[in-house]
Amino acid sequence: MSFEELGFHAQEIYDKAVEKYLFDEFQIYKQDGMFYPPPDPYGGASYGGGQSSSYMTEDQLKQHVWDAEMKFNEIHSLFNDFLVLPDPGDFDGPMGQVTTCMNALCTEAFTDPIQGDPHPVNTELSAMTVAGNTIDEWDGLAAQAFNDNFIIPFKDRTHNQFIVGSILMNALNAEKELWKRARLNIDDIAHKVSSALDHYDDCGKNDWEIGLSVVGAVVAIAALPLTGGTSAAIALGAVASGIDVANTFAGQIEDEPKNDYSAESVEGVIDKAKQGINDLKEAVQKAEQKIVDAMSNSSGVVSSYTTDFVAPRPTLADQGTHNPDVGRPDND
Amino acid sequence: MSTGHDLGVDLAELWDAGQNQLPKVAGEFTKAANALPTSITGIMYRSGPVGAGGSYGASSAWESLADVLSGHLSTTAGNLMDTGAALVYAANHYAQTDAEAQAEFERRKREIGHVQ
Repeated sequence: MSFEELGFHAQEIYDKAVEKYLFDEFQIYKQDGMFYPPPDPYGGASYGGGQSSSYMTEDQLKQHVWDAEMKFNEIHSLFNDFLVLPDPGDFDGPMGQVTTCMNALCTEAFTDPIQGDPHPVNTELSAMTVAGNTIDEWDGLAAQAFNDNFIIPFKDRTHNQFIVGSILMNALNAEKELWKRARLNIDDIAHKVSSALDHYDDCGKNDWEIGLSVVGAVVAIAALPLTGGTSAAIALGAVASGIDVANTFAGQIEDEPKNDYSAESVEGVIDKAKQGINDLKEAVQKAEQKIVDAMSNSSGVVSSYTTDFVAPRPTLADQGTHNPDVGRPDND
Repeated sequence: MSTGHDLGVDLAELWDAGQNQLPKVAGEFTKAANALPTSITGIMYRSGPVGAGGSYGASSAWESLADVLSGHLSTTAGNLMDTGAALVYAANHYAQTDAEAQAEFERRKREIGHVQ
């Protein structure tokens, strides 16, 4: 089985449930895609042979089949909710774009604070040092203010912007892992439910286990510290993918729960399938909520502490052709 | 305080900071802002009630943060460009007050233009 065949397997489970239920309850059997009533033990001839020797009328047969089909119809809707899920491969493009953004902000070689990956220095940004050394020599108030408020805190602010980029990139990576595992988990449920329908009437206990790996797909990082100035006291919410998390946060990966299910009838197996799917839905919801919470937390912090992420507009920038106050060069 | 030739050198450096160095840095911030995806809804759709936040999950929360960052990057780029323009204006304007400084300033501007 694979996730791409989920719709087909839902139909297979439904067909199997209807067929086995009808046989268990009424000894109605299926042959070549048609349902037949139980043969009269004293009659001999089969219903399908054209001569009905069953105690069950055709109307009764149709009613039983109809009732069974209605009884298990919800199997389709249970699996339909998972038929279209985000495709893990689709996250690679946006992750690459955010990485380009992060790389542009590297005033020096930075390390991703969430997954620990290295990012090379962007040598183009050394132009800021050249400009800073020049402007530092001018004693005008606007020039000095630009130096003090823009150039000196430039590296810290840019690093903080890099960290926000990392939060965005790792959120995408966590989404990618979440949907990769959700697809595997729903496929596993379908596979095991189908198998349980094949074996509930065997001798011995009919039980199966579903591992909900989605639980460990998203790692919540409650407080990612920033650097420099007032931002030393601020922390941002973040998430990481369960497989790309820095050692620092590895202890925060939640263990994968193994849920045991057991049933000895068609209805019991389908009830457990419903329970398993609801367990999976709950786990996916909790995992993605961690991402929503981290993004909302970070947006709030970045908006509340704006000057830790972007410099106030320099006076010089507004002076333009209005006699910019650069003062005089100080060549001491 | 420098005058004449030395002032011309200082003005050329100021002009270079405004004309070349700050715009170069601004360009990197523009590149960073442009690289950020503005929307991820297209890759986040799910057909049923699976996950948090409806049919597009965490899209909206993610895009809000990306929008804030993109805004800060664009603002940084704009501030750098406008500051650079002010420095260029200041250097050109200042040079007119000292003939010797202006000669050296113009010579160095041409030189900087060649080596860029």
